[in-house]
Amino acid sequence: MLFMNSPLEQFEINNFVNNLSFLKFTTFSLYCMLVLGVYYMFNMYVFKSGKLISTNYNMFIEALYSTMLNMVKSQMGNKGNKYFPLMYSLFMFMLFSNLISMIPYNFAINAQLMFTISLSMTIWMGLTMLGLIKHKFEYFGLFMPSGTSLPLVPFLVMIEMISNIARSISLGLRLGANMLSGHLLLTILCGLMFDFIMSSSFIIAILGFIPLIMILGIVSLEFAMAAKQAYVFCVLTCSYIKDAIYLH
Amino acid sequence: MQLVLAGKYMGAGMATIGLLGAGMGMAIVFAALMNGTARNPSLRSSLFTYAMLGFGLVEATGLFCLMMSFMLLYAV
Amino acid sequence: MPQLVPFFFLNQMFWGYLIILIMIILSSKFVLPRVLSIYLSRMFMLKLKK
Repeated sequence: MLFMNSPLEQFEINNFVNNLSFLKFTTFSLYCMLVLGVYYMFNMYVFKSGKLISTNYNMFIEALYSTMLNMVKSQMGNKGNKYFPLMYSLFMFMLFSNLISMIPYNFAINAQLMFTISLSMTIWMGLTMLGLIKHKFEYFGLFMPSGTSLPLVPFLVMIEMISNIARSISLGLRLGANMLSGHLLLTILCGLMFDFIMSSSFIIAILGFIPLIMILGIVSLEFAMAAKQAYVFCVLTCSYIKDAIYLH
Repeated sequence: MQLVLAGKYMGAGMATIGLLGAGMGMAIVFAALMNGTARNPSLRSSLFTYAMLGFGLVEATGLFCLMMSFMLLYAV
Repeated sequence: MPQLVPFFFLNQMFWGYLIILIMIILSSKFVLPRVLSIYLSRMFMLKLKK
């Protein structure tokens, strides 16, 4: 019988190769490789034949392509075309890693808060540099909405600046907290049902099957969350890039 | 020691009060979606994507509370 | 929490960024032009039909 001591045990990282530098091969790197493999298989193998009439797998990739293209176009217009590969690969990475983590007994990459927050901080820092290079000192005009009266200016600048800095953490924390709490919730609920079913009384064991319906609902909610958090991450990154390029 | 444990559990329970706001926010998002769709049904697809975005943002706020209570229970 | 073990931080960032970088290069050099060429050839054939 398999015991889970604590619900947080599923997020533990194992070290496969005992190497003290940062190049060591861990669970995290294994699952990163897996995501890359799934990405490669879906995107390269599918289009290898170069047929014009699409099969089902081609439809999947083409639907994702047009969704992402619509998102980038509607947010950034024609100037945003060169950010399309970045958004596409970010979306694919998030989507495949979230979906792989929904398979039972697998590891969730995006529940590692340190990785997601560092990713969002990197994105935020890159955007700030982009804006500063593009607009020089006019970039700070982002912190003041147009048409404010003069006495309100210092407060508004402070508030806008704080909200702009908080983006760097909240973008990654949203993704990480969603995945973390979703997987914790599933583990705790399944542990509860397991305790019921393993009890000695027959009636309680039958009663233990009732929460199965609720668990089914929550699992499907988690699948929807896995896709939607990837989408939300990309939409927010797009709107931040738009802010940095166009200044409102 | 028992007192610290009791405080931990009480704090974890109280952290979930914030889910109230997330529930209200979700209700407002979908009520606004229905309202907008009823007024102009042709805008349904574009309104739906915005509603999904809003739902994602609102739900994340609720999950921060849930994460706080999980952290109090298992991490501290 | 097992997420907050500092022993693995650098390792996570290295592998995550490496994979995302590889994905950006792959998608910008190979994947997206291929999808675009399929779209363009479809549009070309539609125009040819008219």
